[in-house]
Amino acid sequence: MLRLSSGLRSGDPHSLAQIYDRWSALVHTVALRALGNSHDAEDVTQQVFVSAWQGRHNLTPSERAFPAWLVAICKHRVADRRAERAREARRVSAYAAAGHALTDVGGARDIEESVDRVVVLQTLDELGDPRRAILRLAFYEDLTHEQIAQRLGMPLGTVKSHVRRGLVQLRSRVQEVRDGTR
Amino acid sequence: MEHVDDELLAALALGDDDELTAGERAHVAGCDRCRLMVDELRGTLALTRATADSGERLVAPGPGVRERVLSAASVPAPVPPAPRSATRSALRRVPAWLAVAASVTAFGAGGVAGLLIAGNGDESPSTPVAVVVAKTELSTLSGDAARGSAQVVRGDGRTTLQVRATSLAQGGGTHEVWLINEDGKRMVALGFLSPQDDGSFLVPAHLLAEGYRIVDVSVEPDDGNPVHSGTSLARGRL
Repeated sequence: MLRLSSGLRSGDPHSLAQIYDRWSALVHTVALRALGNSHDAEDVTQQVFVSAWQGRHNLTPSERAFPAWLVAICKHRVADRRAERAREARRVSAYAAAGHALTDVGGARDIEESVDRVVVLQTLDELGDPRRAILRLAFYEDLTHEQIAQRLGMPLGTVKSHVRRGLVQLRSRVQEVRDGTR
Repeated sequence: MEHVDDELLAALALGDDDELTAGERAHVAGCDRCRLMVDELRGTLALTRATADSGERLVAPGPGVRERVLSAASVPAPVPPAPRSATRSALRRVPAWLAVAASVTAFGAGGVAGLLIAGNGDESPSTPVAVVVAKTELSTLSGDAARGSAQVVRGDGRTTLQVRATSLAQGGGTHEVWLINEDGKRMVALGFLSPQDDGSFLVPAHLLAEGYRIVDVSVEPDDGNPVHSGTSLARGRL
């Protein structure tokens, strides 16, 4: 099987489809939170994947680098869209432009935090079972490790080990995207 | 002392301090790297709890976005499955840029010899001598310079593509032979030419009947990437 990065670089459209299917929800969610409306968020999502296709020759050939790469493109497109809105606002009134400038400063900070959370959601989704189920019970249903062990009929040590390793994975994924986009 | 394993640092971050030996705890207390890792893991733990508590979910874009993205990259959608009968491992999808070039060649190239392959299962195992069943002149993609020839030979129960290319010189890289399907969607790698740019390759006979009739010679960099480089030096239609 071809790796996604080499497939994309060689111009294999099937790789683009796979990349889209795997990460479009992540990109769209980041854009949606940053822009607040689904029309703009879908526009940005489309731009991100088309840019990814057009810029595929500059791609770092590592599977792990994909989310960071896509999120970095997404942040640029979101900034462009916000700048357009600000220009539009300036045309309307100077007062509104000042208001938008302030909003944008806050927006830049917000987007970092929302990227972190979206990466957590993506990572939880992609974990294989039983780790995925164990982390869901631990974080979404607030069960203790003992309760999870009982519910799943697993040794307590196994549950603890999955929670710890899952936490290590979550930290790595969040950190990779931070490092690749800041 | 070596750093404490990340899984044990995660135990610390989760409040299970007694999972570590006294020595390990002492190391963490005096080690910037391990303390930073525990702090980051605690941060991730808080982030994950907050994310879970907020009930947030990933939101997929509408289906129209996928179509627009794939059409911007000129991807035919939906993607057709590979043919059952062809050797799956060797099959490649043809990139969009190559498909265009392939169809141009399919309509534009001359030099077609009598193709005697009538269909499936018509091979006679007792064919006494090798018979040329198809051949083509090879030329550059623009068609303005000759680049040798290729022929399909059948005999002794096997089908072979023989390539004798000329004037390919293109600096570094190895010359690889491909068969591209006339549908412009599929291709198969046959192997590499010798340093003298000739070579003989066994071809599953049904491939020709299925439309794999465009012979392509590419130059491949030594990068371990199994996909067509995108640089074709010669082409011809059987």
